[in-house]
Amino acid sequence: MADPRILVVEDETNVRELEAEILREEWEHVDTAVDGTDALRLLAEHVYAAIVSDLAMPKLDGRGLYEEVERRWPQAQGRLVFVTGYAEAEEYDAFLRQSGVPVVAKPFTIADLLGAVQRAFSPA
Amino acid sequence: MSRVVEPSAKRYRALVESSLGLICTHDLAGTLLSVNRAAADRLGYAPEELVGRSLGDFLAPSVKHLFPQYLDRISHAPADEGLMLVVTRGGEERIWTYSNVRDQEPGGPAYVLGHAHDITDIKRSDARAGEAEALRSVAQLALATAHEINNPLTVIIASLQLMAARGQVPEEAASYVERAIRAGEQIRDIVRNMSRITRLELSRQAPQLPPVLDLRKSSDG
Repeated sequence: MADPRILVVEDETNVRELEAEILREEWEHVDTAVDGTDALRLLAEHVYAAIVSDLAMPKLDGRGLYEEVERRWPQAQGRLVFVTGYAEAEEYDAFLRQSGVPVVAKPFTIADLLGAVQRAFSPA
Repeated sequence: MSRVVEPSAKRYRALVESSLGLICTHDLAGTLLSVNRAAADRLGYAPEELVGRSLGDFLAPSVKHLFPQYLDRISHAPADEGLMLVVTRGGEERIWTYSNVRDQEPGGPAYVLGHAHDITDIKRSDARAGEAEALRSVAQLALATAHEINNPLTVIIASLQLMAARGQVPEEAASYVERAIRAGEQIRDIVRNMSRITRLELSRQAPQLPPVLDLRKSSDG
């Protein structure tokens, strides 16, 4: 993908803006969505090379987003990366194990986030 | 008449003696007149070692001062019930629930018929369940706190790193920013360890289901 587009899905404004800023250091096109529902709207409009999403969100959470992506854009499923706190990951443990979606733990470093997105471009 | 009463009295005596309930009689001054085997065993004595001693002698020091009040109540009311904290010969404190009634045979002095159950194990089990519940609440609060800390901590650490990576930190401030990042990472490690421990604690305390008695299986067998 010559000019990759990245989607950041996060309900916490500060974290969302920071993630987008970090990613813009490397890639030009970074869009943001405030929850899973907002993300679906953008996914219908653009093809994303990576989708960086929080897990616990209002309206549609990370798991719901994963299921919708699987249903509507199965080719994009391997481009998902979840960014989540250790605590909230507990209730999603089984889902994360089953889906195999890579997880970046909060609080992350810049290298953590950039590395995970880079790997999402070319999943093993 | 006496031929009919005598076997009946024997049966009652046998019933009291063999009962697992803790039974005694005492006079209105609290002196034990009789104690059945179960009650004596619970206290670690032979029944004959207890007769003639005051019931108050076997109360825990922390409740001994309440004994005169009990004697006063049972002297004026036909019955009294509640909890008593007794001390065994070995020094262990046990909780008994008692239900005592005052009685008087024609021409004889009034006395008290005491009946008690040892509920120490139940009480301790309730206390342990309460402690486990309290610990569980603390663990859940710790997890919720960890969750709330993670987002702002992400912003602090990554923002400082971003500033440093962009060269936006003046040279004289670089060491302070570096120190702030390290402190943030320390908080991150503390929160992660705390979350690990609380998750472990919560999983350890997950309520165990009692074994299921499968009647169908046993009748099939």
